[in-house]
Amino acid sequence: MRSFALEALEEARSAGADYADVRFVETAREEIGVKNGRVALVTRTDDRGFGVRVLARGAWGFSSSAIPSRDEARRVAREAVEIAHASARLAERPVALAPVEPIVATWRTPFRLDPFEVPLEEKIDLLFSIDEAARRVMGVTVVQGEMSFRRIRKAFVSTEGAAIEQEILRSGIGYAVTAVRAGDLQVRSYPNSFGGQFQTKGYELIGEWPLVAEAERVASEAVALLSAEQCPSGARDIILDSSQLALQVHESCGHPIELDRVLGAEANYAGKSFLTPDLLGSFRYGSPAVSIEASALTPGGVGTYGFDDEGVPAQRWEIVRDGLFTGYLTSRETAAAIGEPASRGTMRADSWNRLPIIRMNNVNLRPGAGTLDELIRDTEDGIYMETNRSWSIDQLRLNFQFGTEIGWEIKKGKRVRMLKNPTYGGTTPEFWRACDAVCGADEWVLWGLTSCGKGQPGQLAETGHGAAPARFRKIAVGAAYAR
Amino acid sequence: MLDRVEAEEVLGRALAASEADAAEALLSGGALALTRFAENAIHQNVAERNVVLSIRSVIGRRSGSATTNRLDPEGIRAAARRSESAARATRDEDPPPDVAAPAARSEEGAARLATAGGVGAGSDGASWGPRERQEAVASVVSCCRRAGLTAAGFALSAEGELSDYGEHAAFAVANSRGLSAYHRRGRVMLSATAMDATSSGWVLGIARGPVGLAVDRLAETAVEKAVASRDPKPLPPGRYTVVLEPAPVASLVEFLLPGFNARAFHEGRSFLAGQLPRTIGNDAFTLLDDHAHPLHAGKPFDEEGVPRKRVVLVDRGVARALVWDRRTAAERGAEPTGHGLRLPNAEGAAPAYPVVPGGVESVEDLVRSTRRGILVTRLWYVRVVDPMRVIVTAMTRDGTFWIENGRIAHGVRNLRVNESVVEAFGRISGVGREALSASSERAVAMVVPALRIEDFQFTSEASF
Repeated sequence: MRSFALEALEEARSAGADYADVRFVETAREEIGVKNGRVALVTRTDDRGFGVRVLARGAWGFSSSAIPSRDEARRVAREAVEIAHASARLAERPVALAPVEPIVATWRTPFRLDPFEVPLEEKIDLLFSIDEAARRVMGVTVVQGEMSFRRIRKAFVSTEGAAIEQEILRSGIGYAVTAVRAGDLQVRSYPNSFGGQFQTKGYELIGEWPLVAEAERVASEAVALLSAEQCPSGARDIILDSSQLALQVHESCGHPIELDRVLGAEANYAGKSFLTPDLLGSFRYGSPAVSIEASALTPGGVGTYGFDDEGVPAQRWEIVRDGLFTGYLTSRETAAAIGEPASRGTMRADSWNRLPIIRMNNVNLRPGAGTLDELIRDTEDGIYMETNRSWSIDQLRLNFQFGTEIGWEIKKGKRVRMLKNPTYGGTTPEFWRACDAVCGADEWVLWGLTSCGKGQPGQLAETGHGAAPARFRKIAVGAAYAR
Repeated sequence: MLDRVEAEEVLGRALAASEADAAEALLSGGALALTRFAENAIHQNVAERNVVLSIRSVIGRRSGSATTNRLDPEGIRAAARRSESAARATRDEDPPPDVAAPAARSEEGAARLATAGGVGAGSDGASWGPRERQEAVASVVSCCRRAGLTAAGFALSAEGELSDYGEHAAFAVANSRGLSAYHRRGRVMLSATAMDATSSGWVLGIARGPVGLAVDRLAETAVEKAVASRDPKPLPPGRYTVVLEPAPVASLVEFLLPGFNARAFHEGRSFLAGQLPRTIGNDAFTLLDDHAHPLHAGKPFDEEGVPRKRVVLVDRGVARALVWDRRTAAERGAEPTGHGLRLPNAEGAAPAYPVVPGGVESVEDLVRSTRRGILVTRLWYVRVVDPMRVIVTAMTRDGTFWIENGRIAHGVRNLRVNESVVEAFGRISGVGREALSASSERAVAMVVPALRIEDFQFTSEASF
């Protein structure tokens, strides 16, 4: 692999590249699904290929292929340079890269149990156990459970002398119970919606969640929601559970701090950002209860790695400190735009056939103090919302609306009734400034999201978000159902 | 991209390597190149070739699947073995799995494809190379600069079945019962956003080849929208008459499609709530799935190689039919319609080539006949809030205008939508000419017209 990659670099140089890097990526996946007492999905995927990224005449070019031959490597390298030359004909200024020390290293996700060594029968048996437990509850319509495992082996070499090999292992598990009656459909998911919980761990992740033990409760809630009252509308105090808050952080903080989109790179698609560089260090993003960090070092995070796809080492830094906006996600090309001498190492490509772009790694809300029960007891009149169901935000990351699977009305510090179809909305900084309490470390969970879309052609990134439940005062609830 | 002979050779080797009772092999993927621009410059410029082989093995009453992009003999053998070991390790299925029987294309289907120019006709996406895409982008940038605007967007050429997010659909299918199907197509796309300090205008063009893309006209349209929406005025949330251009119509139609999946319908998860026929929209709304529509010229078979049928899903406001995958059809005593998703899957079927027949009016005609209302260019971040009422939320974007007495009066700040698609389509009061468009996030191509809809709900506004 290494000599093949070095040939590609040499070909790129001789075709006129001033800089080139090659990523060779092999991915193995296994996906298993059980639905209503049947195996719905058992599939194994193997994918490999390489991508060559070059800078020539001050502009980027990228080409890729699944054919790992020397001739193909040379062809791809030449094509990347040809593409760069085409780019250079319409460039405002030459690309300049912040320096990085070329590193020779290897890095692997630490794990205990290799999920690819666990017998398929054992995995299917567990999903069937969940399925059977959930379907014992009267009124359940559909139970769907899935496991997903991914191993990525990648090698990165550059004309600067970097040579990095990494192996990233990720596991995932989740199930959803759907109940339908009289034109109403309600869902409860566990441990999280949209596929469940994902972390860079081995099969030990599966044992960390009481999946079968919770199935009856989850299914019962799905059925009970059919009879629950509609969540009321109006300005209410809300408490969001840690999984919903993880998505809130993702959409309203993680995306607007991507410096490439701040600088316009996503304007036609994902949009720009309200967090313009003039606000760095001075803008009040949230209340003093709100501190957020970005980190590629968080153990178990799906955004955790040793080096990004430009060979920059993993780091951890502040994004929001006690409510003040202090940091961006950057790359070698963009760091200088905010006066930083080096990249923060957030360039990630979702596979060999995609150009690395700035992506979230793990963007985490710092825990505060106290338990969820204590926070609820401290709330006179509010709504507790749990598990994401819908989400939407504008292209500057300001006006948003989220929906959750379930809510509970809180009166005088107690949960008094279940509510269906909770939704809430707002404007990002007003929302975070309304945060007056964040629960403590014991309530903090590192969630993994696997379908973050960005870029053209589109790329899906896996991003981690740690959060503990938090309270927000006087938030607009229920606009989606207002008539 | 593999031609028919090459595809048949690879699939033949995959089936020959199989030790299963029955096997199905598909090839998906192709070639894609994209030139992306922002701030008046090309900032990302990429190319990809990837062909992926999937093998599904049936052993007794079990099945398993494996996928690889290694098309060498060893890679194919390894995939066959992985697929078989997955089948052996799983559980018996009821009904037992199998592979589709070969079926001759219907005369009607062949005739319609001939009218459309044949399978994959006119596909010359491959001829839009990096230099040609750069020139198209340069035209767009130049047009924006002349108006004092900044340009962003992309120019894409693709061959085969490789979508924007890297999903692959099958372009060739073969199985151990002798089924063999192949389809080749190309497409090009150009999208541009023209931006000012306070406004933006967006366009998307889709064609089979660069000749079909009117690059200069697209650029001018983006510029006109950005200029016309400068200094947008605030507009209070509420219910308004809207004229939706084809792209936002596609964004809404996209959320009706899963409800026509027969499996979801019979599981109780469809918004049709188990009722067919059922009123969906008013008599101005008809929805078909038609791969042979000239603007689609799509693949005439599904992911099992089953021939696609033209299905009238909604006829003048009444939902009448579903799309069926082979397995659900067998369970329910129905006929498959050729809309099956790649096996294995938990979902069943999906409409793939939506068509909402249009009228004769242009968007400008619809505006002229609107007394007061809002013209919407694009909907963004559309997500379903309530799947049974198909309530979606979204933001308007890149060209939102106030219409007064049949004329565009000024731009308005963007607004958040919360509306039931089903209920909104019951208030259609104007239908434009149909066009090939796409929902603006995942670029699901559809043939849809512009629509005027009364009392469309906006629940909050953005600050821009």
